[in-house]
Amino acid sequence: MRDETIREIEQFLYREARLLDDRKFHEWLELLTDDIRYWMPVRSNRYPVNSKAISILDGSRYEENELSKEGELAIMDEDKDSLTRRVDRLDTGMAWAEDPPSRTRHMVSNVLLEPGDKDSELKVYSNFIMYRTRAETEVDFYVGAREDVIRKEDGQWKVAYRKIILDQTVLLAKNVSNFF
Amino acid sequence: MIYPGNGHCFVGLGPEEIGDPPVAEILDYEKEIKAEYRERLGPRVDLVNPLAGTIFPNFSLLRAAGRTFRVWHPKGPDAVEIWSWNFVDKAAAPQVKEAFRLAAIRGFSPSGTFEQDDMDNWQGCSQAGRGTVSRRQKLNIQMGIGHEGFDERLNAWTSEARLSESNHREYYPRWAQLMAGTEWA
Repeated sequence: MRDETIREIEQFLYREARLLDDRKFHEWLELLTDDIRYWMPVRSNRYPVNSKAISILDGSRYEENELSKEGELAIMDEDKDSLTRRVDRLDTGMAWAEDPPSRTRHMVSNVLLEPGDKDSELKVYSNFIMYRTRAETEVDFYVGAREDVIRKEDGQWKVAYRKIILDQTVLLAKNVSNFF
Repeated sequence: MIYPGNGHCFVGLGPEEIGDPPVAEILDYEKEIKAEYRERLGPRVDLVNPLAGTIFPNFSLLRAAGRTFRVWHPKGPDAVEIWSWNFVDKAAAPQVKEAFRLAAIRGFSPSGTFEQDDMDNWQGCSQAGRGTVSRRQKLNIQMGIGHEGFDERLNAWTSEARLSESNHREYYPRWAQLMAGTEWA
């Protein structure tokens, strides 16, 4: 991967994070392709199926994967239309979880590029910490990884696919009312 | 609101009102299966048009944003852990199941455009109730008093109001009875 491309993608991700933290959500939507899939699976950690000890006794019960699969229950499962509705809703004055708004800070790191399935696409892995504070003393940390497909459309990089993997199993924040 | 006693209840709509999410696949599907479920469950099914409800003490159902049920796990005075599921008819077409799945995730899940606000409300209620002045007061659950009656056809109590605290007045005494009593065990 060329250094220039790596720099370009990193700058793209930082610019995207800045738009989210500045609550410029309509501008953020312009960085997403029209066919985007944007989703956050549910993570479950269950002793009987996620324990190595079980695999010694009964290998057939062991499951390596804790994350829900596409088509199963998820914390978010969005397309361009539903993301646009979420953003439009924030403008209505009736989006109570974001009124007054959260203050967020997205830290994006560990950016790793791989060739995509098409010439115009790249697979981009990154880690994130999203700090959210709201009202007087509310604090939440959302920490995890993202698996993106970033595509060049009309000379612009855009997010065509994003899988957001939270490290928490039980979501410790009361809700998910921000973007990642 | 309909409540048979012992803390169970649901909020219902009028027979012709729509209790489903405004998604074409879901509305069409509900119309399609109406004759069959009426035949299978009998004419009494037309007496109720449920929107949301709770089976005492901690199992709740919601129809208005997909099909979800959840179990509330109290984790001390300031925390509740919620486990929620999305359910669909096994025999429904794949696109109908997908419509229910997405309606639940987008409407009524931690990120759902309805439910994300609920958590904020509950947190606000708990914070407001923790104050010194609030603690001097008794919790007021009088809403809907005098607007209740027993419906022979339903074999349950009903409130004239869709939203009332009628069932709160059943739920908390039942809860206190179970917490304090030994006779039931």
